[in-house]
Amino acid sequence: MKTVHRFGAAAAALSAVLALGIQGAPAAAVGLPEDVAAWQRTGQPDKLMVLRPRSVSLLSNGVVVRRLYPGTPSVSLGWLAANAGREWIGSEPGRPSTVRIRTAVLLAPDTILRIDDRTKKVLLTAGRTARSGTWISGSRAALDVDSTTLASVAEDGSSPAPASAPGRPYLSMGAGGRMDFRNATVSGFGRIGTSATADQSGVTWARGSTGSATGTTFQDNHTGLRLAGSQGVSLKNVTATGAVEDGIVLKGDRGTKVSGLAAESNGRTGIALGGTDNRTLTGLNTRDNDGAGIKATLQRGLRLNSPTSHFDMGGGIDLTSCRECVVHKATVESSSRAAVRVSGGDSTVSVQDPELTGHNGSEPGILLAEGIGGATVSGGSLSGFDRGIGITGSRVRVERTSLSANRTGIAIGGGADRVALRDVRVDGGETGVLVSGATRHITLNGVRVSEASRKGLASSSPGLKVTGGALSGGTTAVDLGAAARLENVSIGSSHRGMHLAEGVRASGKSLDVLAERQGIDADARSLLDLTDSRVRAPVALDGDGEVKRHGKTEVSLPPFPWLGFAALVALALAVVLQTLHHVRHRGTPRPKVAGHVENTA
Amino acid sequence: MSALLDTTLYDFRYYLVYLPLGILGLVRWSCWLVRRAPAALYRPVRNDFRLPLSIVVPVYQEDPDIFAHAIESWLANDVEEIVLVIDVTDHACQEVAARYPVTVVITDVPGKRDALRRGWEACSTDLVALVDSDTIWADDVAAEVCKPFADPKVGGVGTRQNVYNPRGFLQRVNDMYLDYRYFDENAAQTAVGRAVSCLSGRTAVYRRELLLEISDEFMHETFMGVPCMSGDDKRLTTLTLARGHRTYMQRSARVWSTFPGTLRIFMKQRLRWSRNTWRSDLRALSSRWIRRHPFLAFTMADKAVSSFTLLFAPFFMVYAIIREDWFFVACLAAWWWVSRAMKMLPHLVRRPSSFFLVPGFVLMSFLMAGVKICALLTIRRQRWLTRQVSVVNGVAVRTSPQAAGSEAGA
Repeated sequence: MKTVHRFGAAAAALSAVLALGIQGAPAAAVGLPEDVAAWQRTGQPDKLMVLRPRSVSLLSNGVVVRRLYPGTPSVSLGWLAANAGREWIGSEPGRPSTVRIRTAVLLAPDTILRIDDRTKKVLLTAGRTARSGTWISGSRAALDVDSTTLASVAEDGSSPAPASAPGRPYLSMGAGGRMDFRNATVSGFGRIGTSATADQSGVTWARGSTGSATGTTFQDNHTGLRLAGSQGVSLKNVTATGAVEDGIVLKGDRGTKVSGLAAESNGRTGIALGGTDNRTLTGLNTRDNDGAGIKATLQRGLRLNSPTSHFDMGGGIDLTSCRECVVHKATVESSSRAAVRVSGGDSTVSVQDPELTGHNGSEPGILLAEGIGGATVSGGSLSGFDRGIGITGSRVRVERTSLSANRTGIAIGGGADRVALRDVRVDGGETGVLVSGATRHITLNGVRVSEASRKGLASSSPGLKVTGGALSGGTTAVDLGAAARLENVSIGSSHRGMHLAEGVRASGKSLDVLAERQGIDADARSLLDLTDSRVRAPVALDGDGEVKRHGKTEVSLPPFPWLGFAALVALALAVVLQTLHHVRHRGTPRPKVAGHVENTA
Repeated sequence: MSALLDTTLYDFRYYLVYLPLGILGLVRWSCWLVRRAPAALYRPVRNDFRLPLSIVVPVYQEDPDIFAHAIESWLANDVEEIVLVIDVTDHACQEVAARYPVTVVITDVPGKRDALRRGWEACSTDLVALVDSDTIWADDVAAEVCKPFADPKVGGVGTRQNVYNPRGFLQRVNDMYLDYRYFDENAAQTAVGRAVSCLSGRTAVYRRELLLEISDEFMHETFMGVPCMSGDDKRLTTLTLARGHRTYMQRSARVWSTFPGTLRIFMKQRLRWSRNTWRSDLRALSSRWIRRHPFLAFTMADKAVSSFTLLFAPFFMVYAIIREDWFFVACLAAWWWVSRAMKMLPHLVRRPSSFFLVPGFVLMSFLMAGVKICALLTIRRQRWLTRQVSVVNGVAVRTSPQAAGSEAGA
């Protein structure tokens, strides 16, 4: 009987060798055809363990050297550690709850590998070559990790293994498979290099897979975790930190449920989004990533609810070529790049109620770049940026937004066209609203600028329309370098109320100009048509230009500062009363007192 | 409505940009001018009226050198009698007193009030000067303080006080406070209504018969159920006024007294005085007799309100600094300096170098405003704070272990 069995095995091995010979495989392979095929398909690892529903094949250099029979398709790592042998999977000496995996593990369809809290720590050996490395991968299978730390370990025992190690472990689940993590930590996974594929980047839910991660940290991986075409993955209280590249990649995934997703201190983008339309993500939090906090590319119908970003070096939220996307109640603290950046052809984005804070004069709070299809910023507040909102794109509306302590509140430049600011409030900084010359169709409605140290509104945009609101600035409240039309605007709290550059023609209706020195300063050949307006300043009209007055236009000195006058009178009265007292007591002699008393005046 | 409000605020801001002080400042300045104008018209009484005068001095733990200087200055005034009521534990002062022709009464009862009472009961003259043991008189004080008593309605007379040889910032500030008081507040109260709110205990002269009349009320003063230990001078003044007498500040009578040079003692002293002022003024403002002295009521109310309004200024300053509105900060700081200097002109004319102390004086004023509010919040507390005595179960007792031992021995 033994002879017959040996003969059968030899025949099977021979047929496999023949089959491989036809395919030109470099290594000799002996075993079941599907095991060998799997070995071939998975990059011919030095050691491969194939879990099948009824057996476990151990292949060394493509040769099945042992088989295990767990008797069930659901195998625990503990069982494998007890039966496979330490050169494959085994407990560390003296540490029974620590298991080291020295083989790649392929989960065949309909198998389940469970790693639970009986194995508190699982070390996956990083080989010196890609083939000698370890991984756990599968499709139509399941990997279940519960309350366990998975970490890579280099051959010298250091953990996690260096990011440059070619054989660093990775976890990947393919079509029909399921991968779940609960209260786990995955550390030092993912391979770098041109031969490494995307699903080897760390932990990957590949196309058609599903699963979940709850209360789990992915740290120091190549990419923290990646959802690439997955279906219905649930991520709850998940943190990706210290990744060499992106912290979290959600690309082409469908039906992902997100709650409490954090990416911190990763080498590139904190959370990268792409390839999935019409989805809503709530509670994305990023901090201290080298790239952008959240970067979405080529998205349609994306809605980000209450995302937060703190001090991400590449900016807070970067939306590139996103159509019909909404960023709702974003909170961003930025010290370098734009807090919210919208760019890319045909982007149409709505930024609602943002709370953006800049430090060290970082680049703009919101950048709406040239070439976008349109954007709306509504509500919210921005402070501490070099430019609060930088607009070079077209079809932009900014409504009910408060900007404070930005060097320039709103800068409209480039080839911006059809930009409307409505009920915007700008406080502090140097310039309130700055509009450059190449822009067109710019309208300001109900805009209020106060406490700007230089100019309230500086415009070189031909045809600028300003309606309602109040404008003030330290030196000049309104500085016009091109034709403009102003109506129902209060202009004041400045040295100079309004300045028209040489040759500029502008019109004003129902303006109330109140200035400390000059009301309206019109340079040579400039013309201002003023209707039903009031100009109050020590020098109400100045310059070589012309100011034509129509209707009930009033030009006068500023109101008398009665309180200041009263203060001066009070001081004068104090002096007068003291003088009166002095005169009445001028003959008072010094007191006679003992010589040791000095203070006798 | 919102647009109207915005426009109004917009115009209003125009004023604020140009003015270092707003409406509040104007009101405060108006109140000051109401006091300052009559103060400028004040004149001390000039006549040859003279009554026999005794000096009563409670003595407790006084510096022997200062005490000796003080006795010599009182003797130089040729008064009828000097009664020193010395605490039984104070042997050093007893030895000093023994060198001079004065009457010494040894007391074993702690507390200033009892010592004062024993003193005026031991006197026999028409007028009694209640004097602190560190207060040095000019040679003509006795003659000067008698002059206002030519008016029979005058019950008490105060003097002008200054710091004895001021050294350092705090003593200089105290000297500024004193000049402010005698050239402004007390002078105005004297000129309008002859009702000074407090004849300072360093030297205050009363008719003896009046002191005997109010003795019991003085000794058994309580506030909100707690017996009062300090504030004897304010109490005597208000009891005098309540009986229909006048109180007068005779600025030509000059005395000098020592003041603390350390911030800790300074603050404690100010806290004690502030509590006394609150108690006395609140009680006075709720009394019927104050209706006879509307100007005095006005100054009391003004003083009470100023504790709170004064703190608006630093509040606005901090707000402006937070907003980095440096123009406003500079204007307000300059205004503080200039305006306070104008209010301190009587002192600055006397000591021009104090102009450079005005910023510190202003900051100290804010601190004192906080102390006043703190005093109001702890108004029922009875502690001397700078001496080892306090009220326990309604009785003044010594609080230092050494003194307590002495008392037990006594």
